[in-house]
Amino acid sequence: MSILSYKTGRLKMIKDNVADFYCLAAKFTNKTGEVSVRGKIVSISEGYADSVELTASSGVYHFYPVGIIYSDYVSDGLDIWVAIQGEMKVMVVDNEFCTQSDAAVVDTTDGKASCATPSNNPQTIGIFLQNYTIPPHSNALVPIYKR
Amino acid sequence: MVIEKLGAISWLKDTDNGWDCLALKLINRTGAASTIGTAVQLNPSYEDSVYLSNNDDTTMGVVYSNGVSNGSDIWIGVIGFMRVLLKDGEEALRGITVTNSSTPGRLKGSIYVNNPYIYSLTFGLKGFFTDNVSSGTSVLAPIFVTR
Repeated sequence: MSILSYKTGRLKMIKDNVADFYCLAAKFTNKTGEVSVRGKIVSISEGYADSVELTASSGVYHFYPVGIIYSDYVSDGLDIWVAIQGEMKVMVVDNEFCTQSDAAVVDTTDGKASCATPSNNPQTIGIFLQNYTIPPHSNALVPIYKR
Repeated sequence: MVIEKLGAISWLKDTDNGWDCLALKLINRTGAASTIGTAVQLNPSYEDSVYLSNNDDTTMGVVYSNGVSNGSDIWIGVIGFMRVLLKDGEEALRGITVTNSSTPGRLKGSIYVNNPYIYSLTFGLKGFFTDNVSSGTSVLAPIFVTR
């Protein structure tokens, strides 16, 4: 068995056992309008080439999630890594109960996830890998599997 | 251009032409020389082979190898940044999901991006345009494919 660790220009494997990100990631420009926050959900930007914006629960362009921000504290306009496949952590809405094997879906709070019964919802970002049942909390990061 | 060969799956990096992706090596069974940017699906008549895609659900990748004769190995981009050949007269818009067109192997944007049904049609190739490109004849447009 070998462990693959390879980085091309805009794709790389992430193995971060502190942040618990074990995934394939792609490099985009942060156009969320804020400093990047690890765990927030992003979509391809309508306004800027090769960029991402926070996924919204409505709207023509920001409706579908493409991945989850891995790079923390990076200014708007700079490159960030976005986790696209594998194990990663998603930021859930405040005080949300998450159930293992349920779906993480885009919430009305832009860039955050809530818990739902798995379905064909196009705003599904992944499947929760653990239960998370300790509110009150805010900006909690909960592990998911995304494909 | 670099293809980091691992076998039938490889990292493909050709940033000059907008390709940076994971790629699979399969046999060109389109019936003609391969054309870069065409969408393909597995060919049920031949093992380990692809032909031009005409169905959203089964589209599995985009041809990278150009001008390779029918029956020979070609590289197919499956995850990451690549370029797709638009159907003539179709434009690309940032953030829009990619879908099949009435021309086999050619893609277009889905104007019904808020419609979950349309989204489910793109299940085979979940991709988004990353920049705007005007319509024309045999135009290549940048996309990002998450699966």
